[in-house]
Amino acid sequence: MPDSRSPMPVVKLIKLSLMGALMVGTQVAMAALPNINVVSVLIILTATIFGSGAFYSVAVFVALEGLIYGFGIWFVDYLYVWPLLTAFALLFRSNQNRLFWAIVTGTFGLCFGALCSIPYLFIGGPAMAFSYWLSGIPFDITHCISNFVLTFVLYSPLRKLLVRYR
Amino acid sequence: MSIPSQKTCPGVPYKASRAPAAVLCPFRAYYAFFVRISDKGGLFINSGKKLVIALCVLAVLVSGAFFAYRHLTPKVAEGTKTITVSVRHADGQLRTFKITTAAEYLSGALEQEKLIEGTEGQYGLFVTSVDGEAVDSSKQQWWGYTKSGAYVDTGVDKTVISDGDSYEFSLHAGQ
Repeated sequence: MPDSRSPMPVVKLIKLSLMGALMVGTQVAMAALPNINVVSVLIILTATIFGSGAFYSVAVFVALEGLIYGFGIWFVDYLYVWPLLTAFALLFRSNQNRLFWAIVTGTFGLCFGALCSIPYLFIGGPAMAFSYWLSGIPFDITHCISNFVLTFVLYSPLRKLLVRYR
Repeated sequence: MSIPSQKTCPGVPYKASRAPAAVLCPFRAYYAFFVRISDKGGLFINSGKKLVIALCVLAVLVSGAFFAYRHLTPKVAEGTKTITVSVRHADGQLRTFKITTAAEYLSGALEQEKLIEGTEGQYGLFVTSVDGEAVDSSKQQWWGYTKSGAYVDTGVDKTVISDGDSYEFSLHAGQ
């Protein structure tokens, strides 16, 4: 069993960084599509294949997103939203059923706006957070459906591909 | 300087750090928890019945969100309406305008009367000038507004107006 306290091999660190870079690359490439991206699928695949090292990939992803788009309030959301999905994926990493992961990413997409409204609780109170969440519901539903479909279609082929390069 | 005991954070080896151990302990323990769980394969749910139930729950959640959006979002009032807009300037002068408009949002009514100017930003229209008085960013000034004295949590381009509404604009400084 790998020891979490031992130093991470350089090769694994490079692979995890590349997964983070892949998340950013696909997100930027699909930026024109509203809330449609494969970041959730890639995070789940990284967590299920590489284990807890997925937190490194997410750190790379979040840091690069901040450098590309600037450090706004949304950056605070990213600091806990994506690690939350990673943690959830790690808890269920032995599951390989694509329907299971499609449901997980679909639910995550639907809850994305609600999770991102948390900082507004402290900025403008419950009314502002509720208003933020409510106005973004159409985007959350799009996020949910696109995450579900993309995960259901891409999970198995991408997993086979990534396992070869693990 | 004395070195803290290695027992300060059970299960996690002591490593010298500038941050207090009391702060680092929960984070190290949190990370170690996930490493342990995931290294053992994590929890396992692969029952078809459970997945179908989860899928049904997700469908219900999507329907619920859609229902909330349809019924809780403020409705746009069609037709002509008359609203009152008061502007309190920095020098204390109060000017009041009665606006008759077919606009659906407050920004539309104000732009119709050429009362506001602003810039489009990440969170919609950011008002920089009202009734000819522009904000002085060096003094951290900003225009705020209320509806019948109550705080409004949407920007002017997201605030739906109805006949008889009354809005008050005032210039603020600082946070």
